[in-house]
Amino acid sequence: MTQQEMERILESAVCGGAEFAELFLEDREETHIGCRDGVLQGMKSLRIYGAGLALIAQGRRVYLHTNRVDEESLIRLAGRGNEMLKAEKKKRRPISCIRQERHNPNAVVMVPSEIAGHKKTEVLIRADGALRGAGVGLSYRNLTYFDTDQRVTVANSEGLLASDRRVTSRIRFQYTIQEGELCRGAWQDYTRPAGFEAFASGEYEDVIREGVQAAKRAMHGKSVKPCTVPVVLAAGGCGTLWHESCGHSLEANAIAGGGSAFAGKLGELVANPKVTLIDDATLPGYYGSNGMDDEGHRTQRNVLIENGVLKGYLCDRYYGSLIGMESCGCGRRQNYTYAPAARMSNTFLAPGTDREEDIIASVEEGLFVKSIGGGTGGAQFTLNVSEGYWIEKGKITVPVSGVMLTGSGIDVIKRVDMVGDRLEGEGGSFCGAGSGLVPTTAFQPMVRISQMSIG
Amino acid sequence: MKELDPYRRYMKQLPEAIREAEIEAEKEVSVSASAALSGEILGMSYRELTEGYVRASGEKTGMVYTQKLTQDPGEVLMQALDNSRYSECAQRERMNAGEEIPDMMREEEEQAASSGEVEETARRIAGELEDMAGEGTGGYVRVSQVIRTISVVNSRGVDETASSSHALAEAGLYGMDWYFSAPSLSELSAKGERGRIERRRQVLALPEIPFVPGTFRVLLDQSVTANIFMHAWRLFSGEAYVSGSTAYHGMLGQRIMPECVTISDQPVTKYSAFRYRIDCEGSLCRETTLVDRGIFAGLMHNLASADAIGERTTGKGGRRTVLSGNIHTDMRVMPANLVMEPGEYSFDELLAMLEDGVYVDQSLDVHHSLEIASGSFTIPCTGILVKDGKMAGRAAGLTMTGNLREILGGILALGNEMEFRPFDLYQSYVLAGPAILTEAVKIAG
Repeated sequence: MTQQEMERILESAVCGGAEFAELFLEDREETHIGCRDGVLQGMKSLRIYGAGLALIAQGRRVYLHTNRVDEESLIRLAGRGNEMLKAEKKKRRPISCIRQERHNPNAVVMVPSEIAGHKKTEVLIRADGALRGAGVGLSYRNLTYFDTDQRVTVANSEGLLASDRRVTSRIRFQYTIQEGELCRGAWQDYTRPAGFEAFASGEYEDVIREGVQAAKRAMHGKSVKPCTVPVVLAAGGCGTLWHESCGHSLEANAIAGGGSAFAGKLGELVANPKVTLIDDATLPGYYGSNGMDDEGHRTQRNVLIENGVLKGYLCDRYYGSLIGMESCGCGRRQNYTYAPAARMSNTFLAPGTDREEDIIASVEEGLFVKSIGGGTGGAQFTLNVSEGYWIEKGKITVPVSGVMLTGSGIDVIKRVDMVGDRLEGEGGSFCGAGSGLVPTTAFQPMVRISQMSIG
Repeated sequence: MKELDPYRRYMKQLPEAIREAEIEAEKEVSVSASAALSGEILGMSYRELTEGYVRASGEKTGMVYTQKLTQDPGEVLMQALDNSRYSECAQRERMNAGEEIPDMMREEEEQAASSGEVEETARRIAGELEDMAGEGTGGYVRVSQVIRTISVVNSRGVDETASSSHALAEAGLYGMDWYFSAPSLSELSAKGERGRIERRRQVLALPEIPFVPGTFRVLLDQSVTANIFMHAWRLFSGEAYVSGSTAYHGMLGQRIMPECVTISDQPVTKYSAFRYRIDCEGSLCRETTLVDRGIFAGLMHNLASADAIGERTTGKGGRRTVLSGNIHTDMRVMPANLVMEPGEYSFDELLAMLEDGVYVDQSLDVHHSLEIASGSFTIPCTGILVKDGKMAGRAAGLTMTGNLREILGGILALGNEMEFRPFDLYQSYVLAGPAILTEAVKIAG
């Protein structure tokens, strides 16, 4: 679609009554290849193609989307949107967009569409070999290779025009471990914000082998009696704690909805002073990074909590405006079928000063969480411990299984009393919320929570 | 579906390299309005999306998914054929050869409602909820009119189209999600929720009390039943049965639950306005009894799982079966309206039968907490302690652990109220079930 066509669509929307109009165009190509129990299931080519139109008038937003991407259809869509807004028609005014440059921090070396199919299947076969060779009896293996090349353009009635290209690569491996009568299903993703070079080092094979071994250990883990004990969460992907316990509650949508425990607490001490929490979509090499958010706003580093004091919220344009704040580049969506909302990108706890060995040694009896398998956020969060161990007398001992962490975010972050001095990143995964599933990471240094209920 | 006309023409003159080809297209047109309980309209949305799933077979089968239906069908089909080169499957995927589908099953595409009608309905439902909950109660409702059309056109002569529409309300009230549906906007009403809203108010007024972990007799609210079956329907998937990844593997024909339990999957049911005439393979969606008075009676099948077990498809071929960030292209087994039939007991009678135990009123995150191959689960939840058949106090941050085979096998009684819930995120299938009174569940807090 040409710039002139986009401008005419926006003009039509504004002339029909909208105070603000934004057009989001997406053209995304994906490749999926499946491999089940060692048998290649064929390649699938995907084309996601469409447009979303957001219109705002008198503080109200309407969102429309279609995969009929031509000027006539989108002008008709704008007309429907203005019917919804019931705003007064205005005199036509020309809209002239100026293209703004956006720099994606994740450089792409090998564009997936330029890679031959057999090279992609080779990766999958090697991945299946790693799964088979992990030294564990498996009754079911299912792997999928994904690559994504998403091209988005945003134009709005304020004259912004910006584009971004996001390329990612991923392997999902699912399996069922079978040992006699015992069986356990598990899955994991190897994700990289990169082109085909993501598979060059063979790192994914190590991730697969380690994942299967961890699942086996968890399968034989002892069950834990429900109790309240100190909990130590390992450096790295256990940062999901922050994502679920307070990240979602710091999104402008949650603040505007009035349901967040952090609403109205800017400038207040909300966590232990050892806590500094940051969300940053500009980090090179991280799955949640982009050149711009899905409203065309340049991404940035946002300090949410600094030394325990609440410093800011995650704001997109619309929900930010509802709480009187400007966008901070956090308007995200899965694709054009979703209206943007404030979402996390790469959320992490800044490193502290405690040595990891001191943190473990400080626990007389408690839980050590090596990895988290997912969870839910909000006022009450839940986290599924996918790999955990019992700590006795300052030492990590036997694996435990079936443990779930639950709690209230604003309470738990006050009880973080030790923060390790080594920050470790993670590969990333998807976060699901109102504007769909978006790539994110959540990571941290090792932390200790003085007391937490586990079950 | 007119968008498929170029494919219809192309299917009749496939190039020599393509032995078989098919396009399945799914179109959704919906208009939605969200309102605060005060009646203030918070936002509106409109969706018009057609997705094409294209398969082409030579020796093997390859696939293309496209939202750009204006692309030349020849190019798309040749791309699909090229993708088949990377398949090592023993044979090409089976495509439907067609069967008699009664004319009454074919429905014409309906017109989308006007934004004014949807907005007015959202205000009316918000008003009904506020009347029941009391003025000033926080909450919202989102009302949608949805028209869905599935078309399957293939080179084996199948050209089936089925369209259905429903009105859906999704409300957030008292910290819970509420769903109700009706065939049309004018029939949509929240008034049937009065009893549950009153009960919810009573629950929230209870004091919070300390919880001592243990093993309890448990009453699962119908919303918990529906939430568990959001994931647990896979126990009855023909695909899972064939691969041995259901906890009921090898138990077909055996008693797995008490006699009071009947579970079926239905194209049309009185508990939901969602209607499923044909599946994504163009097969007639059939009523399928899965558990008949406690006996494991049948499985949900698509063409592939039915072939593997030597049965006929039950018309349960679908794609959007799991929460995921990617487009679902694999043909899987997927329910339509999965219904656990209600029992005969009112909520108060169930509480009295519970005597001393826990009424689990909410459950979270079943997708991460339930393992279908073994049936084991660890589900975060909230609960109400019940003493002498009366609710004594509530406890948050609980976790129930156990095995679904034991919970469902130990059912003592079922409630007479039903919960209806579409699958989170995609709303591609529906679960409906009653409250369950069951023995011995471990609960921690």
